[in-house]
Amino acid sequence: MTAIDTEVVERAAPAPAGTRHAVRAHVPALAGQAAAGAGNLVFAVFAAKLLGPDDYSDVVAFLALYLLLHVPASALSAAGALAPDRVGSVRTPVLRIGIVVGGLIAIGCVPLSHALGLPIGLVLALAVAAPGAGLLGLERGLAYGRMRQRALVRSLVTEPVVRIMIGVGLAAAIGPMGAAIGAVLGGYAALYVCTDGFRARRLSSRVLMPSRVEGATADHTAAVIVAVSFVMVAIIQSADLIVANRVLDASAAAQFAVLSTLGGAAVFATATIPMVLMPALTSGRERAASAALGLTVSVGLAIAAFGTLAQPVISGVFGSDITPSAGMIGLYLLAMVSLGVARVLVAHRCATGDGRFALTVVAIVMVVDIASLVAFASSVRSIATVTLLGSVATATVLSFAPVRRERSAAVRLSIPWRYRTGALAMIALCLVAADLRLATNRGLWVDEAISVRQAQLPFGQMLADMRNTDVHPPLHHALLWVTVHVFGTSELSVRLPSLIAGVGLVPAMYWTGRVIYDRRTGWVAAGLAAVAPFCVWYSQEARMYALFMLFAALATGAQVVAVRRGLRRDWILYAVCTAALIWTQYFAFLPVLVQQIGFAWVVWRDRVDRERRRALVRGWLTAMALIAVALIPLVPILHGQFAAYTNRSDGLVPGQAGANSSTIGGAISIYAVGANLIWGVWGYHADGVMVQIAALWPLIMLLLLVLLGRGRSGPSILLLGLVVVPMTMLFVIGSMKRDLFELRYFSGAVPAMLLLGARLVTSTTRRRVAGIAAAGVLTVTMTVGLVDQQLNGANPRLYDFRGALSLVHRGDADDAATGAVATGEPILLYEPSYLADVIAYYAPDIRALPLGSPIPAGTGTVWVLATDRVVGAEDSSAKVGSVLADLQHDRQLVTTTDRPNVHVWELK
Amino acid sequence: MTANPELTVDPRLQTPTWDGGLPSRSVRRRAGVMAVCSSLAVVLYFVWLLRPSRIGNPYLFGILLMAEVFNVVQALGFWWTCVFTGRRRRPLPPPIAEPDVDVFIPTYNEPVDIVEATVAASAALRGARVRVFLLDDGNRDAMKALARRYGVGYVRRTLHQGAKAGNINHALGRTSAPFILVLDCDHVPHPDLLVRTLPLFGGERVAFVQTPQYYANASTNTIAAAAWSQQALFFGPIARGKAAHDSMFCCGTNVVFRRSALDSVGGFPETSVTEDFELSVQLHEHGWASEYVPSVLANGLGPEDLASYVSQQHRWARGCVGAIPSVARSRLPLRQKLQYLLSASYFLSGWTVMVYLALPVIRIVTGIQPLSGSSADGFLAAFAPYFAFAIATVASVGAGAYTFAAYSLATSTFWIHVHATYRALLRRPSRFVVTPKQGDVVRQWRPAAPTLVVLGVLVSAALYGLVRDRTPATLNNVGFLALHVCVLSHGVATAVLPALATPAAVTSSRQNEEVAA
Repeated sequence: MTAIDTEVVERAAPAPAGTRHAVRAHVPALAGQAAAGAGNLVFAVFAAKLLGPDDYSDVVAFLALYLLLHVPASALSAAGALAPDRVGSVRTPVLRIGIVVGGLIAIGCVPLSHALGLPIGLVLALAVAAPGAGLLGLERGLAYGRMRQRALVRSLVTEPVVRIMIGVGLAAAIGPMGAAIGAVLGGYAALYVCTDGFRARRLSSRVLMPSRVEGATADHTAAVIVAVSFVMVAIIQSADLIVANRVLDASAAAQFAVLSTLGGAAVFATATIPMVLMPALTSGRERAASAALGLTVSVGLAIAAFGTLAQPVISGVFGSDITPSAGMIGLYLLAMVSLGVARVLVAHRCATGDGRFALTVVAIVMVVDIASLVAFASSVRSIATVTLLGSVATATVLSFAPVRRERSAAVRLSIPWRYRTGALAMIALCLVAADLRLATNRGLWVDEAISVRQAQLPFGQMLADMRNTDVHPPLHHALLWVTVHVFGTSELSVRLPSLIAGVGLVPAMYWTGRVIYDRRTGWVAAGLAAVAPFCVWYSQEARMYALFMLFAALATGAQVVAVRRGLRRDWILYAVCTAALIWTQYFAFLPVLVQQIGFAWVVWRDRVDRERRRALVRGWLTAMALIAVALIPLVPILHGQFAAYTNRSDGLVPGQAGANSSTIGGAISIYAVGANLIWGVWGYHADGVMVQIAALWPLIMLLLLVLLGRGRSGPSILLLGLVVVPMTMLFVIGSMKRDLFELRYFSGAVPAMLLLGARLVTSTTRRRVAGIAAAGVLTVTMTVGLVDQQLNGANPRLYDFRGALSLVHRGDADDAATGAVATGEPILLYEPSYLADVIAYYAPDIRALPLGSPIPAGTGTVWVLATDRVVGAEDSSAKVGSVLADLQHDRQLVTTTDRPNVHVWELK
Repeated sequence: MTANPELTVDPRLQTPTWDGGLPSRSVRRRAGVMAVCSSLAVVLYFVWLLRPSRIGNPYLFGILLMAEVFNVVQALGFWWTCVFTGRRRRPLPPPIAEPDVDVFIPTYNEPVDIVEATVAASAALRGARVRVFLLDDGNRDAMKALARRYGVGYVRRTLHQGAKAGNINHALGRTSAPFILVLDCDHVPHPDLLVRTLPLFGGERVAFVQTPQYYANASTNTIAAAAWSQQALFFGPIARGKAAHDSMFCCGTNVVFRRSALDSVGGFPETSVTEDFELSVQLHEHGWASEYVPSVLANGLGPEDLASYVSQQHRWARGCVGAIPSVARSRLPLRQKLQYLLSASYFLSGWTVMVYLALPVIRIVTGIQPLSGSSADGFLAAFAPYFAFAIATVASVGAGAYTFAAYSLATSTFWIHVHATYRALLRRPSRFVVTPKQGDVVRQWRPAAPTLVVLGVLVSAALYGLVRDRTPATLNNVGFLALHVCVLSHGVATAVLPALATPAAVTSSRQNEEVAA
């Protein structure tokens, strides 16, 4: 029996269906790919060692073009994997195209050489490689499709081995041309090995033509679709590098190149998984998809974690000046993991007859991604964030969009896979939420710094401090105290409780949406919570508002469950969530009040059914008793805080963007209410943007009209009450005490708003396409809001104390370097006085005094720092101006710097 | 008699899903509360609006004011009608034992399968000695055969004049029962229709008893559903209120007449396209009373495509607008006269829609606007409660019967009212057009054309505004245009995309059946 016969016999056997088998099928290809990656790395290292810098850069440029040539080839691999029966018929055209491309490159080698800055020999080597590139992709696709693992692994390994053996030797002898020859020969050797020699290739196209499973292979269109989709995914992957090279300065572009290299490695590692998946799916292996997805996520996350932790090593390899921070590496690698997941999902869709949808999604994302890159690319972080959003959007839409029922019988087989992937999808959504919440460069602002200062105190002293100076209950501070004492006071450490709460909000919203309405609403609510700008913002802040939202969502869901099911544990869950809610924020009494009205209404509604009413009242009273007990320790703290609050001066209230643009000065107006609603759903934006958005209020009329004739439900009215009552009450309270009308104080209403939005989306239409479109539109608008909120420096909530104080640091360092320090120790004057904590956080070693304090004798440089709000206010602005004028009597104003909402003056 | 098996899937043979709306007490209570709140909002808005400093362009201001006043008058009429729902309580009269009733089923060009169910159900009516007559103005032998098959009377005439009214009058001269039930040929009566309506003729001056005109195909067609949604608001709180004001008018089908009353006014008027409305005015002028039973006692078919809807609405609008002068001149008591005027003038509301559509376009293109001297904040503070309570009133009193689809369909066909007014003013004669009973599945550009043209203007104006400047004032007007575009597009969507006429639930159910097959 020949080797090929053996393969036929093996493939005729029934396919093992277990997850373990499905995972095992990937191992050889993954191992081969890893070996290939390692081999390429070794080749690069040798080339770097053997060649001079110029020659090495030529080799690197050649390899980049060589890879570019193989991008369509990898798309052919995908097509071949999906439709191996078609490979035989397209070999000749692919070869012809390759020869034509090679010929064109050869003919135009002189101008190309000038344009690319490469020696002519290397361009000619590229021309020689062209005919083989397409064929190699095709043959590897055939190997994937026929599950010829041995040939595949041989091919993957042969390429770098030949490249090293021949290329390194020739490079040492004749320079870059030798390395290029090695690379080209490596490609042809891989092609030869992959086909088991040309004899085997001929046989494979004839003997193996019939498919293993009758009618299971995909048609020509599906093969084309998968090929085009993979090309577009490759474009999404590489577009950011091109844009970065054009937009960023040399140093930043180099930094991004390092990121892209690391990302490329991450993608390379999982590139075989969708190829192995497709033939498995067409063979009817049910668990192949979940195994492939799990494997991609696992391998990808492992690489992301490794890349993040190994930042010092990477820094050693590439140089510390162009190596991005660990957070940035992690962020970008997660984007690449998402792209890997997207590839698997594209493969799944194409293999199960839903390729057109995948193609459409990828095409849209590609266009949006490129447009976003063009629009927002201003820094390494912004480009990486756009890539992250694009890749995550692709993965998310492909994960959650339903598979069309009629497309394929295989889809019906895959129903269990959809259920099983529910958990995976939630993990993916949480990862997305975590990514978005981690993707921030925002420094701490005043309130956060105060919390951090308090959390550094001994626990009892912290509580005492809160009792005398704060207005919030201590649950968040207690959690913060733990994280500060365990992880330190880095920005990430102090924001960890909020981050966890913000990510936890996603499954909490799913659960609440599901128990109140249905699974679909739960998923939409979770998706909205993941990208909601307001939720993201407060998950990035070392304050209690993310916890507030989490407990508000849980308490709402728990209340509905308690009323509907009424088990003891339901009431206890409700009591715990509600008590935690009040322990997090005193304004929680407003939603809790609405909840009690809800209970009372249910008791009244069910008054006829005595038994049910009795059970309800019993559960309700029990929950109330538990809550009351849980709140007893809070009473003395509340009492102390109330006394302190009545005697305190005004706190820092960020400008009410939008409200200031109304004609009623700084007073609360109906526009202010509208602005708060917009903030709650679409996030914080610059005042100008807010005024423009607020001007579109007629669309709210449309919303009201759309609600006409819609059925009412108790939970919907409860949710509406959870939005309207707190907002109305705070509107009334705020009109008496201005600083209390503040969106974050009713952030507990935001989950209810998102749940209502999700319900509106899922119940507006029963048409699937319209439903997906509605959810998509809402998500896209929120994502746009998120991008603007996070990246627009004109965001009125953004206080860049870190940037401002780093200027002060840098100035002092410059002084020290130039010897100016000899003139005296510098000093920082700040206004308002409560900036002390944030200054202590970012500039603990700088001598800082409140503005108006006497300046000690012998002081050198004087820095004055004030917030935008101070500068905008008449009295405090006059104070700052007066001090600056006084200082200029014996000093000169050297620089004036404006950071978002913070101003710095340097006087020497 | 053999039942046609196809009739078993006829939606008219299903149990109706509407039960007459809220009880009168609830309607009264809700209407009362909403009337108080809405009145306050109206006063607030008009106090704000009528300050001299608000006048921008005086002509536009005047037009806007007229539109707002018209709407407020309609709203006041709505509250007045609904608040007194069930106010009048008549003692239950003694039942009339098994009277003779002639059932008239006028038909012109409707298919046999549509008429068959009506004939079959009419023959099975209980509570009276019933004689059914199929009044065939189409002179079709198939109808004759149908009548013979079910053993009912068949009447055809040689001279076809007066449309449906003439057809009925012709039959009146050849029959003799003291009561006449008129059924449109697509309305399948409930066996107890006469049992529920005849007792109300205990009052000697009761000329007719009307029952709701229910569209059973509302569950299978989105246009019918939207049209029914409009009907439900009328046959719910409004019709109850009108009955309480002794001003319920005849709606042309599912109505039982006293023959002597018809005789007293010379039968159905044959010169109007809304013969039922004119007949009601005449009967009330002659001192007759009318009654209303708020229960679905006949299942009919609503318009299933935009062309049918436009045809129906145009006939109603032309007839009612044309009747306004005669109602104004009539010798009706003031209360009844006002009620009739309210009903007839509803068909002028398309003019207000036109005003609201035009104002943002004018503002964007010319910069002229009706209002000035106010901040957006101030306008919103005055306008928002006014608008919100108007919506809340319809939602609350109608118990959710009135939907966005109904609103968008009515708004997107605003031009019907404008066109009908034009024809009425010029006294152009109108022809009685039978509302088609089965929808068309092809694109219907013609009935949608006026709306599509308006949509084009609105979209162009919005784009022009966005290109020109993005100031809050322009964006605000673009916001209004976007609102109108959404509403109008939704209203005519089924004409452009006929697949949307089938509700998703039905599509999904059919797909499931196909998959199962």
